[in-house]
Amino acid sequence: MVMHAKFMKQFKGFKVDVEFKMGNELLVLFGPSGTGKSVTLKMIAGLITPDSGHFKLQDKEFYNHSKGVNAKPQERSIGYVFQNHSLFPHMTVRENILFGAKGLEYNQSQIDADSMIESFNLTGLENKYPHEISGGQGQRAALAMCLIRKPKALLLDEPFSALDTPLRHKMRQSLKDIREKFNIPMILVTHDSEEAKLLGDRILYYDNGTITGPQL
Amino acid sequence: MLQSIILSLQVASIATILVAIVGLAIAYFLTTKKFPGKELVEVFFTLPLVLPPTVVGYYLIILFGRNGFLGKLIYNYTGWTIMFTWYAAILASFVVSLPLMIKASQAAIESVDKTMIDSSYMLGHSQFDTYLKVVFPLAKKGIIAGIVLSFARAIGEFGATLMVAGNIPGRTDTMPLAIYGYTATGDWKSAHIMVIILTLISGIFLYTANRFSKRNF
Repeated sequence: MVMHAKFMKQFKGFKVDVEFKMGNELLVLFGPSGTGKSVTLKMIAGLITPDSGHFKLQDKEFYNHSKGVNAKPQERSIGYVFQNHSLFPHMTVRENILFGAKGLEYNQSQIDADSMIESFNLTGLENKYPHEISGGQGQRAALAMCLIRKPKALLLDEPFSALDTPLRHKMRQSLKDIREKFNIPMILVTHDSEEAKLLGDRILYYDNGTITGPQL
Repeated sequence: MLQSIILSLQVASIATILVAIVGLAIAYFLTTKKFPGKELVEVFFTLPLVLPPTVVGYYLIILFGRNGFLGKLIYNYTGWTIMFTWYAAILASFVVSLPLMIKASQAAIESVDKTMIDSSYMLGHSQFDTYLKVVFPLAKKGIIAGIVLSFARAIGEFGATLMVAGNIPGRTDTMPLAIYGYTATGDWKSAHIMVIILTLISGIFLYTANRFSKRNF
C-alpha cells in the first residue's frame, strides 16, 4: 500500500472518523456536502490536525498521534487543487507554475515550466493573468502548478465544479491522462456520481463523517 | 517658511518609512502568532490612536527625556538626548501614526482568502515566504491605504511633537507648529500660505496614492 490514512476529528456536533488504504490509483471520495470529504483531504495535507490517528505515504509517516509525529504541510510534498481560487491572481500563468517549482534549481524549473505549459495546452497563455483566461484553462494551469514539483500524491477537491458541462468532460479526460502519466495516489472529492464512476478506480462513499461504502 | 516645509516633508517621510516597515512587521506578528496576552499587546499598539497627542508626548518624555527610563541610559552613554531635536519630531510622528498602519494592514491581511495561504503551503512555501509573496501582494491595497493614512497623520502631527521636540524656529518647527506660531503672533499672511501648502501637499499625496491603489495587478 502506498498510502494509509486513519483519522478521527471531533467538530462541534460533527465527527469525522475514517480509515482507508490505497495504491497508485485514483480514489474517489463521494457523498453529499458536509460529510467530511474535504476535511479528510485537509487532514491528509496537514492543514487540519486530527484528534487521533495516523497517516503514512510511501513508507513515510507524516502523522501519528500516539508518537507525536505531525509533519507540516510544506514537508509532505502533496499536490492540492482547491475547489476555487486555484491560482494566485497577482501572478501570470507562468509565474503561478513556477511558484509550484519550489526546491527545483532555477534552470531546471524554467525547463520544467516550459514542458508543463506545453503538455497542459497553455501555450500562448503564459503571460496572462488568471482573470484573463477561462475557468478550464485556469484549472489546467492549477494542475500544472501542483504537478511541476512531482508530488508524492495529488488531492483534488471538486476541481471541476465551477466549470460548465462540455468543459468538465474535457477536464475529466485531462485527469485521466495525468493519472496515467503520474503514477501516484490521487484522491478526488466529488458529489457528482457520473464523475465518480467515470474517473474512480475505486469509490469510497461518505456519509455523516464516516465511510459507508466499499472500504480498504 | 521653506525650511518648515522641507523639515515637515523630511519628518513625515522618514516616519512613514519606519512606520511602514515596523507596522507591517507587527501586523504580520499579530495575525500569525498566538500567544497569551495578545489582546493586551493589541490594545497597547492601538492606544496612541485614542489618547490625546499630549498624553502620547508626555509618555515619550517619561521614556526618552534626559531623565527618562531610556533617555537616561542614552544620555549617560552618549551625552546626547533626543529631546528638542528633529529626531524627536520623527519619534512623535512615528508613534501616533503606527496604529493606523497596523490596523489597516492587519485588516487587509486578514481579508486575504485562507485558501491562498493553504495553497502556498501545499506548494512547499514557508509561512514567511507565503506572506511575502502571496499575502502582502494580495493585501497591497489595504497596506498602501495604511501607508497613506500614516503619512497624512505624520505630516499633520502637532501635539506630541510640541511636547518632545518643542517649537524651535529653524530646527523643530514643522508646518503645523509653524502655523500655530504664525497665528499666535498674528502673522496671518504666512499662516494662510502655510495652511494652503499643507492642504495641497496632503491632497496631492492622497490623490496619487488613491490612483495607485486602484491599479489592478
